[in-house]
Amino acid sequence: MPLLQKISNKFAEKVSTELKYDNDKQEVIAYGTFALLQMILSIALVVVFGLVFKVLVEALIVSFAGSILRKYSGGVHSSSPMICVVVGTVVCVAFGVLTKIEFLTQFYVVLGLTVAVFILAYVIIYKLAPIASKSKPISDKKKVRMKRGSIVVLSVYLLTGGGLFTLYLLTKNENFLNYVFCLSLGTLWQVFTLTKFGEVVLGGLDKFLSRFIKA
Amino acid sequence: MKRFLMASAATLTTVIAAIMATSACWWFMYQPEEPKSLREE
Repeated sequence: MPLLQKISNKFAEKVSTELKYDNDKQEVIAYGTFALLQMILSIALVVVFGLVFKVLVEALIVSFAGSILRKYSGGVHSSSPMICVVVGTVVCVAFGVLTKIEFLTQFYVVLGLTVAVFILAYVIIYKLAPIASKSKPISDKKKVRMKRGSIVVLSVYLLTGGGLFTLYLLTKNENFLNYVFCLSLGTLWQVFTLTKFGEVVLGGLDKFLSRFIKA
Repeated sequence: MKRFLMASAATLTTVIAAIMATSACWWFMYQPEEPKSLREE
């Protein structure tokens, strides 16, 4: 059993014993504790490595962009929480580092990328979202809600991107272009995890990493 | 005091679990087994 899950289960057991809760409630507390711990660990690692590579804001934008969309669209999963955290951190920081490459953050390059990403994202989300997992099945009724939610989130991102582009044009502050770039990359990453190709690539990566990461 | 902290922790984690139950996935890429009591059947 993964370490995070052991910690969550132990904590839930302690709380349930103290408050005299039944097994159902204990399971729910363990589930919520795990989610909280994983989120804190994920964000903390992105912050630490974002600071190390001097791309804190950019890495956080990629992280939040992907994660918020993931809440509604689902996607491929890794086999352990640690692999999940490692891959997520590497992706977010690496995408943040890409903003240091001057060519990639030119206005027309970012604009072209953003348009391409959003067209692709709308098509893929319309066709494939939400993607469930064996650990968390999704009912048909919920699928409709999640698909609608995914499209709403994507639309909010599109408006946000438009707003950031406008701010760039008004102020000529390149940070706004970097932020749109990161928003697009976070969206692209999340959409990639919905595809069959993403499943194959990340499945292979997961298999490779599980030789070294056991927790 | 201990009981109050435990109850607060139980409430917070239950709220988070409920939020997770209404979503397709949570944060990054690992999804633990969802408790039966939270599943929408």
